[in-house]
Amino acid sequence: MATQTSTIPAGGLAGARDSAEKNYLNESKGILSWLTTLDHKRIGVMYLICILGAFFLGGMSAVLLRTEHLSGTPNLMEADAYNKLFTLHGAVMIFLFIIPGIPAALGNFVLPIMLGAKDVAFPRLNLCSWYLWVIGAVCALLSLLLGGFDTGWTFYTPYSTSSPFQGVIPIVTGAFILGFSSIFTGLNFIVTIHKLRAPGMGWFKMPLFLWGLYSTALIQVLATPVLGITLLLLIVERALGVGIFDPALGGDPVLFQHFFWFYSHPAVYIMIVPAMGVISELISVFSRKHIFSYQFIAYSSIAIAAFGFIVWGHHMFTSGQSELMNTIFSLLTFSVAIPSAIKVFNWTATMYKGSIVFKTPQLYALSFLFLFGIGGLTGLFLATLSTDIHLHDTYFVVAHFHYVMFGGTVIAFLGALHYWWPKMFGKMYNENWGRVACLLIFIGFNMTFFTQFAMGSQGMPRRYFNYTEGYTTYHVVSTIGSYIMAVGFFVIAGYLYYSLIRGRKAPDNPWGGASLEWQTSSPPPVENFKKDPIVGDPYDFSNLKYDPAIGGYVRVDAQGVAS
Amino acid sequence: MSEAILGEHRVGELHDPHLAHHFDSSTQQFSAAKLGMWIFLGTEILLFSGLFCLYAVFRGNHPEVFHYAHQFLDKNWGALNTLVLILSSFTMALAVRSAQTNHRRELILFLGLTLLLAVDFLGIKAIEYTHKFRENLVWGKRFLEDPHPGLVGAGAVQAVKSDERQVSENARPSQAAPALAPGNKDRGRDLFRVTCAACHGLAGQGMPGLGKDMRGSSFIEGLDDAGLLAFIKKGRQPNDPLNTTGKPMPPKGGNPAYTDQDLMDIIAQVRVVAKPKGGGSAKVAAKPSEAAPPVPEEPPFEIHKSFLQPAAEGPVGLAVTPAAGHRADVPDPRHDPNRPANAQTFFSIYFLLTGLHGIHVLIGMMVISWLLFRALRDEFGPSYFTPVDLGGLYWHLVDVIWIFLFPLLYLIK
Repeated sequence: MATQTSTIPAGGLAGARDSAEKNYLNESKGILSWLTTLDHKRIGVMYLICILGAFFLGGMSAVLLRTEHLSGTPNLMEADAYNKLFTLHGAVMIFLFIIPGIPAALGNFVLPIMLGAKDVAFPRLNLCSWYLWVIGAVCALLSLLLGGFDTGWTFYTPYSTSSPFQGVIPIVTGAFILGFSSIFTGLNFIVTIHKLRAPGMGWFKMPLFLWGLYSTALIQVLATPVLGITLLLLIVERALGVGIFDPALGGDPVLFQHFFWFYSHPAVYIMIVPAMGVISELISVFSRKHIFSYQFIAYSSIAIAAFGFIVWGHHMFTSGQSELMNTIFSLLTFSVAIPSAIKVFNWTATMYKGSIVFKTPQLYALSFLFLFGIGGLTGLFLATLSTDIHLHDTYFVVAHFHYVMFGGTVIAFLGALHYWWPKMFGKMYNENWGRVACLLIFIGFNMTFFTQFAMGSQGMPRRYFNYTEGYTTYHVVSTIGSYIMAVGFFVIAGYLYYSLIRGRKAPDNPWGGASLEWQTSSPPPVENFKKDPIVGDPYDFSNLKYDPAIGGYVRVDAQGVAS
Repeated sequence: MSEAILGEHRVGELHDPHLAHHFDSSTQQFSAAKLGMWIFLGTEILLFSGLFCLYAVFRGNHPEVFHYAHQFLDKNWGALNTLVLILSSFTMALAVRSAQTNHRRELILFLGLTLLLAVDFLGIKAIEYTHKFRENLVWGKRFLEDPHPGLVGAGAVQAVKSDERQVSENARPSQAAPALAPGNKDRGRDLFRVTCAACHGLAGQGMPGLGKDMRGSSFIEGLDDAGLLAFIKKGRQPNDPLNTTGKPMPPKGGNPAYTDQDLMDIIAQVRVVAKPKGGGSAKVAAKPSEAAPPVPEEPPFEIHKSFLQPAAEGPVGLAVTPAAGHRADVPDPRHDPNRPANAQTFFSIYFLLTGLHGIHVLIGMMVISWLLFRALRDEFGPSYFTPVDLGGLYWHLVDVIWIFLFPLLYLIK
C-alpha cells in the first residue's frame, strides 16, 4: 500500500481514495483464491499469464529456427530436431497462443464490462475452459517428453500416422482438448452477448470489439467440433489403424486435409477477427473521432465469419483436387477480400481529419494497417490458381501468413494489451519505451518476413532444413530481423513488469475511451461497476475532457462541467 | 454509497437461492442456460457431422462396400435398440414434466426408468459388439490382419479342444510324397490366392467359363498328394478328352517358377478347399494324405466349412459353428471371393459412429444419475428445474443421433 500511495501524482486525491478500496486483484489473497475464482477478470488474467508463457516458448523456438538458417549447412541442430522445432513453433503458436490470445485473455476481461454485465453467463464453464487450456498445454509438454513430433502443425496423414516419433498422439490429444476450451469460451461469449447486455445496450450500441468477439465465437462454436472429430479420427487412426485416412487400408489422405482445413481455415478468422475488433476500438479512440460506418464494420465481421467457411479448399490446390473445385474455391477465396477491405477502408476513413494521438496502442494499430494490408494483398496471389502452383509450399506462403497472423493478430494483441493494461492492473507503463519497442518490432518483423516473400518467390521451399548458396543473404537478413523483434519483446516484458511494481497509478480513463470499461475504476471492482454505467454511443467522445490533474479523461456535461 | 448498492444486491439474491449473482432474474438465468445448452447441442451435432460426412464420402465413392457389408449387422438388435432409446426419450420427457408439476416421486421414477433403458441400450450394444469381435468384423487394420484365421463362431472354443486330439493322431509324417516335406497349407493358402484363385476363386468355388468348382470334388479326393502333384505339374489342355470345361488348366497353374515344394503347399490348401460337402467335422481334413473313408453327411453350417483348416501340422484346424446371431445365408466376409475391396471401411465407420454414440450414452447416463441424486435430495420443483430440462435435451440429442445411425448403418438398400 505504501508504495502505491507514494506513486500517486500530486492532486490525485480521488485516486488515493480508490487505491484503498477493494478491487478484483486485492479482494482475496492466495494462489488458491485465483485457481478457484469464478471472476471473469481473474480468469482473463490467468489466461494472459499462460498464453504469454506459450508465446515465449513458441517465440524462442522461432529464434532457434532462424539461427539454424544463418547458414545453409547444419550449425545448431540435426534435421530431425529442426523438424520437431518448427512443428513445435507452429503448434504452440496456433493452438496455445493465437487462438485463445485475444478472445480468452483480453476478451474475457473486457467483454462483460463492455456489456455492463457483472460476469459472463457461465462463470464455472469459463474457469473450466481455462483448466482445459492448461490440460492441453500439459499434453503438449508431455509430447515433448515422449520424443516430440515432427508432423508440422497440420498433422497431415499419412505422415502423422506413420511418423516414428511418439509425441504425435499426446499433442493431437492436447489440440483436441484445447478445442473444447475454445468451444466453451465461444459458447459463453455468445450467450453472454445475447442475454446479459445492460439495459439500453442494443446490438448496435456495442463496441465493435464485441462484434469481433461475437463473430469469433460463432466460428469457434461452428468449426471447432469438426476439428475435434478430425483429431479424434487421427488418434484412432494412429493407435488402432482404423483405415479412414490410410490408403493402404482403403482410406483417403486428402479427406483428412478437407476435414482439417474445414476447421483450420475458419480458425484463421478465429485468430484475425478479434484482432480487427481491437483495431476498430484503437483507431477510433486515438483519432478522437467517431468510427466511420459502424454497421458496415459490424456486418463485415459476420461476413468474414460466413465466407471463412466456404474457402477451405484453397489449401488443396496442389493436392489433386478437381480443376472445377479449384476454380470454385479460388473464386470464393477472393470474396473474403471484400469484407476485409471494407474494414481497412473504414478504419482509414475514421482517421481522416481526426486528431490522431500517437500513443503506443495507436502505433500498433497503424502497424496493423500496414502489415495486414501486405498480408491480405499477398493472399490474393495465393488465391490465384496459376500463381499458387508456383508459390505453394514456399517461403512466400510462410511470409503471407506471418504478415496476417503476426502482423495482424499479434500486433493487434500487443495494441490491445497496451490499451487495456491500465484497466487490468491499474498501472501506467512507460510510454516512450512502449513506442521504442513498437518500432523495434515493426522493423524487425519486416526484416524477418519481407525477405521471405522474396526468397519464396524465387523458390525457397518452406520447412526445408538446408538451402543452397543463393538464398544465404535473404536468410541472414531474416534472422537478424528476428533478433531485433526478440529484443523488442524483451523490452516490452521489461517495462510492463516494471509498471506493475513502480508504475504510475492509472486513472479510470487514461485514453478517453467511451465504452463502458472506462467508466469503472482501474482496476475494476469485483462486481465490475460500483454504480450502474451510463450506456451511450461507444464512439462519441464529445463529452470526454482531459484532466491533467489525474492524467486521464473525465465525463463532462454540455456546459463542460465534470459530472 | 457503493456499499448500499452492494447491500441491495445481496438482499435481492436472497429471494432465490438458485439465482446466480450476475443475473437479474430467474427468467434471464433460465433463458441463458437454455440458449447455452442449445448451442452446446449444436456443437455436438457438428462433432457427429464429421462422421456423417465421412459416411457420405465413403458411401458415395464405394456404395458396393456399404451394400455388401451392412448385411453383417443384425437388424433385429438394431431395431430393438431404437425402440429402447425412443422409449427412454419418452420417460425423460415425462421426468421433465414431473419436475415442472412438482411430482417428486414420478420424477424419481421416470429418471430411474430412463437410466434403466440406457443400461438396456448399452447391454444390447455389448451383445452386438461381442459378435462383431468374435467374427472379427472390426475396423480396417484389425479386420485385414485377421488375428484368428478360420476361427469363426461361438462353437470355436469347443472345436479347438476336439481338434487338439486330432493333431496328436496326425503327428506321423506324410507318406504320400516321401521326397517332399508335407505341404504347408498356410503358405499354400497364400500361393493359392495369388495363382489358383484367379480361376478357381478364393474359396475354390470355381468361376463360370474359367476354373472348375473344387469343393467336394471327387477327382481331387481320388488322387493322393503325389498324384495331384503330377496333375498340377502337367496341367490339362482343352484338347485333352478329360477336359470338361474347354478351358486350359495351365501347367503349375500358369507359374512355371513353382517348385515341387510350392506345389505341395498348394495341394495342402487344395485339400482344405476340396473337402467333401457336408464334411463339417475336422476328421476328414485331419488326414489329408490318406484316402479317407467317406464321412456321413452332416447337415449344418455349410457356409464356413470350406474354410476349415486341416490339422496336419499344428493346432490350426478348427471346426466351425456359426455364431449366435450370425445369419446362415450370408457368406463369411473374410474369405468371401465376392467381397468388394475395402469392405473393412464399413466396419471402421460402424465402430466410429456407434462408438462415439456409445460414449455419449455413457455421458448421458452420468448426467441422469446426477439428476437422480439431486431429485432424491428434493432439489427440483416448479421454480427450479433447469438441470432436468437441460439433461433431458441432451438425452433427446443422443436419441436423435441414434435414429439417424440406425437406418444409415442397418437398413441400407
